[in-house]
Amino acid sequence: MSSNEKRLRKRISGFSITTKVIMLIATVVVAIPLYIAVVNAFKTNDAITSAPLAPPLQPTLENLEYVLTNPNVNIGEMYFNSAMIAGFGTVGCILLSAMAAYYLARSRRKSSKNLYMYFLFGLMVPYVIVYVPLVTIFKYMGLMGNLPTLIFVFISGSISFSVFMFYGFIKTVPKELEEAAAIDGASPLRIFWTIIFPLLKPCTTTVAIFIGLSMWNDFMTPLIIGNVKTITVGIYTAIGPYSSDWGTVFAFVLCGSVPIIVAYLLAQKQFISGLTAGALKG
Amino acid sequence: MAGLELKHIDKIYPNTETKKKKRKKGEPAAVEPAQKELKAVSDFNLEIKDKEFLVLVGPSGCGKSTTLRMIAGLEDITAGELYIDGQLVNNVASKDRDIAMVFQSYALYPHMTVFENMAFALKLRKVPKDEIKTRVLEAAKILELEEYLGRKPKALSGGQRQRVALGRAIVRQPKVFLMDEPLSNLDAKLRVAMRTEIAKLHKRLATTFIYVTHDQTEAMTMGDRIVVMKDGVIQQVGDPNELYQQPANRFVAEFIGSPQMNVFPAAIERTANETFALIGGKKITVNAERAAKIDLPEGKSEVFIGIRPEDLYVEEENLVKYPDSQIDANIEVREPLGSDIYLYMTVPGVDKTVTARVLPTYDGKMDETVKLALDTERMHVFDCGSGASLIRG
Repeated sequence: MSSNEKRLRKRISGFSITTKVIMLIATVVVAIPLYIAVVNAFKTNDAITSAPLAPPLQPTLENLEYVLTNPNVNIGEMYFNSAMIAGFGTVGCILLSAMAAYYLARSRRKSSKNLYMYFLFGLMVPYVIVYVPLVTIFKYMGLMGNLPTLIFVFISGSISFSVFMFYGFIKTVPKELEEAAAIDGASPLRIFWTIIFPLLKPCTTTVAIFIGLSMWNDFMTPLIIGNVKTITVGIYTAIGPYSSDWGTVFAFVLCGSVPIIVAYLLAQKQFISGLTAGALKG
Repeated sequence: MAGLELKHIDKIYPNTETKKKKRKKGEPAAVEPAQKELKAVSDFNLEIKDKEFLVLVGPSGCGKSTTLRMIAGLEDITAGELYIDGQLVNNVASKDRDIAMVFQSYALYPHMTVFENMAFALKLRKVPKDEIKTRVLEAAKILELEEYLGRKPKALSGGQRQRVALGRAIVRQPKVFLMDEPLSNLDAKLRVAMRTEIAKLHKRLATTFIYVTHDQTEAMTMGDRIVVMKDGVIQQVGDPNELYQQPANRFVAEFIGSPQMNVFPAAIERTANETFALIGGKKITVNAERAAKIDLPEGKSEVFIGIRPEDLYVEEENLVKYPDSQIDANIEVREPLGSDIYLYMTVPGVDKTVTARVLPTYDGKMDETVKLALDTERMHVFDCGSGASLIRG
């Protein structure tokens, strides 16, 4: 456990009862949707509609079985598509933005400051307003409906946030490390990969979780631009105009959430240290 | 191993962040240069001999670190020429200058072990693995780091980290070692110990060392030669004794030595046979031999007089030796250090506190007015305007 984490835990243990109660309520509010998804995935449609919050008194695996094994659903393809988007999108975005942020953070040129502001400007643009121009352009270029286009859109959509995060973190890395490496004989690219990038691990993990999660969970982009079936698009297939198969919907939600929860649990330590890095004086 | 030559080196930083002044309506725009420049180093000329331990010393912002960084290739040289081992290196990258640098913050790679830190430069130079191991182990042995080779820097103490930083430089077997205030982050006791270690290392490696510090004690104890800098300009170059005994100007005189030299305004009066100094209205006789060396400009009598704390006497046995150069002083603070006593005193007509280093047996009390004798044979005289020393020879 890092000293930052220790201090944070010490601070949390020192919170007043009121603060703890508020935090507990917040946790419950966040946990309720997950609870609903888990309990309803194991219930029949009748049981769901009659008592949506009740635990599954007669649990059934029908919904999960349908989602996981039915060839019409083809969840394997959905998993593959979601994984490709989140995987390549996250890795691509991290590589590009970390290198861009490194240059921007270290450059003394005024144009670099302007370029950084340009990146930040991307944070202010709501994603939904770019769909129409994007679709128009992609249609014109014949790039609609494929996975690489979708990955490209996700990378460009996340790069502002990612550059913002890396820029701030790189600013805290002492410049002497790079100078020492330069004297040792390392090229700028080597300095970045061998010295700087490993030091960005907490930030990289945080960025990976944030943007990976948003790419995995995104519903609109794959539906509109990619015409690609991802897990989130799969949920939509179970919702009809007149009636919805709620059991299947919740089974999809559960199947879609499990990989994300596992990924979070595996990288939790890095995630917390990434969030708290720089927050407390070391 | 190599000598260095710095010829007319300048370092100018362009400052583009000058804020525009707000002007009132109708007021013409102020004529200002588009960029204000900052001259960090000005006309730096120096020859550094092979195997020499040269120390650059001066207050913060005097340009000593900038000079070192220019030698390292971390800063561009605005004007002038830099030669390492006879080769012009102005446009040669740091990695190709065959130098090693130890930073104030150690600059150890935090994600690498001590071994990896020390081996990094050799790996980049594609040195065979066996040789890397041999050289790292050899350096670790010299610096007593053998048992820490598997540790990461965060698991080491400040002194150990400093030794790793030195080790990283040693394994490279460079022509020149550059050290930028390497002991500043250590506590006082460790600093003294590491000072000795570095001096020993210099002797053992027999390589050129260039060492930057703001601590005059470090400079005096370690350097073969010392360069005193102020505002980017060399004030004096010389061995420690020369700087202490014959400071070129008031700045060097006050910077070198602890406690610092007492400097106060005075007037010099000459008669046919004698020379006098008027300090706070009191006239004292200046030692004839010293007086002969005072090169006072024609028609000028106002000067600054400098006298080191150890050249002031209050003890009875010493007062008799200097009957003609005594002034009255009031003891304000008495600081017994065991080996000496520091007396901080006020002298009528002198607005600065005068410091004297006296024998530990001296029993003068605070608020006591005593006679203070000046050893005028060791007195310094500085020009009132330029601050240059007026003592010749």
